[in-house]
Amino acid sequence: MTKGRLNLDLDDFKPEPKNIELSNKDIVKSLSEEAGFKTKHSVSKSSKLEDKGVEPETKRRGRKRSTNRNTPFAVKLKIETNNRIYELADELDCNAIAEVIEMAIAALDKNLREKKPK
Amino acid sequence: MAVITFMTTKGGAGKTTGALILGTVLAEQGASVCLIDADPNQPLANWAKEANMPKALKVIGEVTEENIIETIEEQAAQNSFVIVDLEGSANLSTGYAMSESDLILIPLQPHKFDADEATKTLKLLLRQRKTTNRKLPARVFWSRMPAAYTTKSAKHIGTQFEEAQIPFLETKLFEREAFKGIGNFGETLENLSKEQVPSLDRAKANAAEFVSEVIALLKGFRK
Repeated sequence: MTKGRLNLDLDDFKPEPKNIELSNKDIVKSLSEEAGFKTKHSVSKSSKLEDKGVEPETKRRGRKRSTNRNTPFAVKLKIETNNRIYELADELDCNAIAEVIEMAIAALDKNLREKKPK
Repeated sequence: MAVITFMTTKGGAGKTTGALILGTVLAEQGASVCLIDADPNQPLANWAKEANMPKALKVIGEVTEENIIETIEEQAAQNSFVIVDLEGSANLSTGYAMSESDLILIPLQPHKFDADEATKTLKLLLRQRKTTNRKLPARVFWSRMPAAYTTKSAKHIGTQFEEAQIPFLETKLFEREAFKGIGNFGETLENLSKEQVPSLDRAKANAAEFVSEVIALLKGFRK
């Protein structure tokens, strides 16, 4: 039996406050990371933001991957120009109207380059 | 009070089993023990939900690199022994727990993969010792060893570690159904029955030897 076999004198091991030098924490962190011992337990994004007093981002279903198209561009068009852009988007199977404009600009650039006298 | 941490970056090496054996046996001796579960899989915390634990034992789960140092500090003031079990990966909690340990125990099985992972942990230990100028006592121990014989692989790996002057515990923890039984049946070795697991007395003797050596070491460090 463990109890019977063991006769350990454990009186030396009383609970006692541990003197932890928190200044060592940063040193230990950088040492560990240099040795490949990295962060594993990531805290959820929302709680991190809350810690900093930042409103968490509202998550929506069906959101798309970032396209880097983040600049608003509002213009007034003739109705036929507007409709032609949408027709082209359908014809070219574009996911966004911005894609039609990008393709149109690329075509225009190419056209201009070819027209330039050498 | 003593903080003992089981660590190696290899999973399945015997950290949780070692922590359970040490924690339950010490608590059954009447010492207050806190097991800190810093493995995201929470094996000890899950075990504690159903287990028939000694009164002197408590298990704290959901410990991460964000709160491990504070948790060790808090529990050290309340318990005779704080035993930390870590995830088998190269994680930051390992670095933090290492810095606060009175004894670091690195389980090793006689496989090259285990030896490589133990070496990673030992390298971090040497760096911490050098930079923080602290002793950080550590021992490697053979874990989950076949009870009947010592394999050639074990001899080969053991020689390599000896040549590098890395100290081993004299006690090997053998692969025993009874050790698995602590987890499987939610009982301590003391409360398992011979109907539940074979070779129970041998497992108890092995555990007693392991715990005695750890206590003797800790006492030796204090002199």
